[in-house]
Amino acid sequence: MENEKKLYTIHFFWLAILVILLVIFFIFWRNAKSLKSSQISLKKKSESVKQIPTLTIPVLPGRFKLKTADDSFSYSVEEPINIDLYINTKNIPIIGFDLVLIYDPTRLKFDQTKSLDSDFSVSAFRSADKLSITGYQKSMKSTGKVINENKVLTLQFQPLKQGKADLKLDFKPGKSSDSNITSHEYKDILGAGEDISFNIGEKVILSLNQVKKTKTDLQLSLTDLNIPEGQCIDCFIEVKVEFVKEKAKKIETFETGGIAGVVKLQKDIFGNHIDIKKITESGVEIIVTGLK
Amino acid sequence: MNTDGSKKKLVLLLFVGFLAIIFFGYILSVYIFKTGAAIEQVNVTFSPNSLTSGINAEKQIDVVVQAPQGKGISGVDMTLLAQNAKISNLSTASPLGADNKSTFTEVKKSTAPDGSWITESSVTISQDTDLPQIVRMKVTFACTSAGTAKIFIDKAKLEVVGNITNHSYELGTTEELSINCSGSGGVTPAQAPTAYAGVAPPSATFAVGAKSQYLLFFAVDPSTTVSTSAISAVDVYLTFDPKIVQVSEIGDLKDLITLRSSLPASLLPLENSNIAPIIPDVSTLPALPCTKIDRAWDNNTGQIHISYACALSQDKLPKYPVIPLTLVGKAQGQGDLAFTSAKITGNIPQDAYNVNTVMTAKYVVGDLQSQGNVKLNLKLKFQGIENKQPAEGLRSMLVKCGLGDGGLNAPVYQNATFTSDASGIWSGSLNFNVPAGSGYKVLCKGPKHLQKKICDDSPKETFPGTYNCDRGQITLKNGENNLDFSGVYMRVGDLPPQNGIVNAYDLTLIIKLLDRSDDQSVNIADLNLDKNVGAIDQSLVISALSHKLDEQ
Repeated sequence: MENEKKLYTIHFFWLAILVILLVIFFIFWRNAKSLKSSQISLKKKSESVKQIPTLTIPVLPGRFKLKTADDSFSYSVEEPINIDLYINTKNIPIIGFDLVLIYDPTRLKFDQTKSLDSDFSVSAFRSADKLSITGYQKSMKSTGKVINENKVLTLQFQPLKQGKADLKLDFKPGKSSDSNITSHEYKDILGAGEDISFNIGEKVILSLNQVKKTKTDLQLSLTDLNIPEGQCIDCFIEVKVEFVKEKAKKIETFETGGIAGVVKLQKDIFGNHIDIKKITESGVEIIVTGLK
Repeated sequence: MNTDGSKKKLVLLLFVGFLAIIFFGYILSVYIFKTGAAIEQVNVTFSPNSLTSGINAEKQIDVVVQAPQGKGISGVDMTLLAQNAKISNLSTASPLGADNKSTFTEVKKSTAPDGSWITESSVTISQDTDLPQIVRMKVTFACTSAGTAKIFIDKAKLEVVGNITNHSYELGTTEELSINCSGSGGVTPAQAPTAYAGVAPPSATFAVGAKSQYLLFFAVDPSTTVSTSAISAVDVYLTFDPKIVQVSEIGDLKDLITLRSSLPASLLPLENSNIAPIIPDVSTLPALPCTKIDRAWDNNTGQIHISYACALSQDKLPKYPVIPLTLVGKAQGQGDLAFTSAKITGNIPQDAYNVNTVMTAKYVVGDLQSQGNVKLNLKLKFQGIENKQPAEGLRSMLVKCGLGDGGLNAPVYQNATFTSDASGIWSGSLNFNVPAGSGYKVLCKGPKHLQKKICDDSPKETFPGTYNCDRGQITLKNGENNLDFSGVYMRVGDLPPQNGIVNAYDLTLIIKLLDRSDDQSVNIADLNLDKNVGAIDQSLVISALSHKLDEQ
């Protein structure tokens, strides 16, 4: 009788374990399935974005891309900002292009533009809210020129006041009075463009243990500066800065370098965007932009 | 003791069993017994889903993945299988609709060496709200032998993710592509396939506040296509003058072919060079089961965008699609309902048809022929045509002039033919129904020119093209008003089709037509009216870049 009870208990125990294992297996199986879906989402962040393929409602192949000339995203009020225009005509010869930009004229002042392609002349025209640049081939009789991801002109702006500055491309497919790329067949082939945003802030130059205060009342001091030997391949440049705002205090580490090329030189701290723009043996140059 | 221990074990086992039942119940309720309403499905279709092709002739069609209304697609992992056909490519997913700018990135692609299957995975990093509801992938294939070929979706491997609760959509309806590999469909016409886009009727006159219906029509050119060629998508932009008319309604996409047998040939605009003065009544025609991607208009800027895609089998694709459009008269004047861009695709090997916009429609609002109370007799001088009479045949041109300020809410425009005298001064008369009084400005725009604003009754400039002014100071009386504006130049640069700005379009056009002297080129780009498009015309447009815009 007791043996029979024992047997029942053992059977019950194993049955319970089996049930639990089945449940766990089922949950894992569901998770694994949804993981497969989310893997695509994760992958997308690491993959570089490819060009938009052609559509039934065809997306035109031409591309405009605006990029800061020094790849920086923060500038101080006193320094001019150079923006390059890259054009990709996807092997289609072009005769001209119109770059129409919308920006806040109280934050940025347009200074000048210069052609970087010797085959094209550029002409700038400013209206109340827009900047229009027209580029056209210099030669009298032209069959067009193919431009594949090359910079064709540079624009110089003077920052006027602190904050986030945007240069938005005025572009709607099919509209002729905005941004265009005109092919040798008199067709607008511009299909997409990339706007650009950057910060205009206050430049703060700090040497080790020096304390400075910005106009936004943020106190900064460089507490540590670690620049590795020149021959070190997988080493990091490390910068530690102490931030004090009212009674709050924070020490943040910024780093760059390593084999993978880590760049962690920007952070938002106490309502300010911090961008370490330059690191030298003697100190750092920081652009502090108030976010409000 | 022993009995106590067994009891504890039994209680523990019961507890574990109870938990297991709760787990099972939850899983069953969530995954097995969920209601149909909770399932979010995507439908996958081929557009078209049947066609005829020659052996080894490469064809390309669309696979369209459509999520429910209001939902978006952020990733597609699709495998296509082929029978009696070889798949050579499946493109990255892309949004259907010109306004959705989401960019999909390819994350995986693999192809069977014999073309019997292909896998393509792509994702977009767009925000949830920007995700496209419909995406399409282009599949390129060819028949391998005579008979019937099929291309179909491997349902077990299909995965579509998006902004829904479970991330992954269920598969709703799906279809396969059936190909008749007979050899006849592979014959590609010698010329690039062409389609037409137009607006009918070519001209309509109606009163302020009255409605007038127009018909946007599309058709394939039979001389450059095969008999089965049809239209699967249209994407058009049109403009109108928002000061004169406004859009009140744009109807559904319909196929005029069903009316064709009962219509006289003169009402089929593309089959008769004499465009019909009236348009057929399409109100009784059923709307085509196509997807409306965009049907928007802006009565402030005068822009229209219409975009439709039809995921239908080849025999059901429209050959003569039409879209009714209604304009309402806003103010006296006239203008054109004109295409700025037209894209048409169909069941052809190429990506799209070459589009020939055959007709723009004119609207005349109000009775422009009747006499107004104020008549302007104007003298104008145009840049480039200096102190000389233009070449013969070019001594008259249509100029649009308007009156503004002077208490008017908005400028009113009229068109008039101006003729040149021996010294290159152009004269013309226009009638306006405006109150006599002071403070008027005159706005004039020639057919290849920027609009010039003149505020004085006898304007002068010391250097050509430098006159400008702010508010109107011209006094007009009832009856004849003689105004000599020949002291200032009307600047050139805005070539037809005009858009109010001198830009790369105008420069490209003039470079394209350089050294031509045919009538069409001369009418478009001969600015100094010497019957030739030359270097002087080009330099005039380049100099106009510094003025750029119509004066207002």
